[in-house]
Amino acid sequence: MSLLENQSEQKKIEEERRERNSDELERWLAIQDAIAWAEAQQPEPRNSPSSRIREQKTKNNIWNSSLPV
Amino acid sequence: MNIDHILETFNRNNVACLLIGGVHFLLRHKPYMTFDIDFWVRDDADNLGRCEKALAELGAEWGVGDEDWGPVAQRPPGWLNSQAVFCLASPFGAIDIFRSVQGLASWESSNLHAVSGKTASGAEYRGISDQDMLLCQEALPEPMRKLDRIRILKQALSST
Repeated sequence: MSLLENQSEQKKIEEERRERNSDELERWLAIQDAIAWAEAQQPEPRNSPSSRIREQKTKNNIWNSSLPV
Repeated sequence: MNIDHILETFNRNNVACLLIGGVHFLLRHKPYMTFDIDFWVRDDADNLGRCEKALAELGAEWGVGDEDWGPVAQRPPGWLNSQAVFCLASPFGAIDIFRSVQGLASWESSNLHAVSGKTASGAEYRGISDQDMLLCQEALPEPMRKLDRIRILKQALSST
């Protein structure tokens, strides 16, 4: 039997086992760390003023129309 | 990003708010790469005031443009009245504040069937239902929709 056979099924079983045996708090802290790490890899971090202002303009173009006056 | 600290600061200041967006999705469904935490706040003067206080405590910065960008703690009260959506930066991560959400009728009606939860660290939150998450994705212009999120939400809704 090829090693590639049933690989996706095996991966699913492995992932489920890892999840069952992982600490929920550790996983949650790792997610937050991963977000911070990914953010730091961006050429222009999402948390920078110019990025925030650009995003705000886009979102206000969509949402301003739904704001009650 | 310190989501727990942001949630705890909003809770401590009694801000009536619902989580929407990527952080809410990752808390309710599966890990999802997102760079900001999105709050839909109840749109009344007292609540907006508490929200302004929470954001000041977090050391958040905001501006309409580059020229007026700065700490929100230095702004006169009422600055959250000026527009529909605010994209802020803070030492704990980017924060978006929505006073209204396209596709959803009102904060009060979404709050009726909102879900409550706790992060693994114990920070409490309330967030919109899966049905509402789907409605606001579908109300977005097509290029802005998160198709993977829509697929998972539809799966979750069909299994309930």
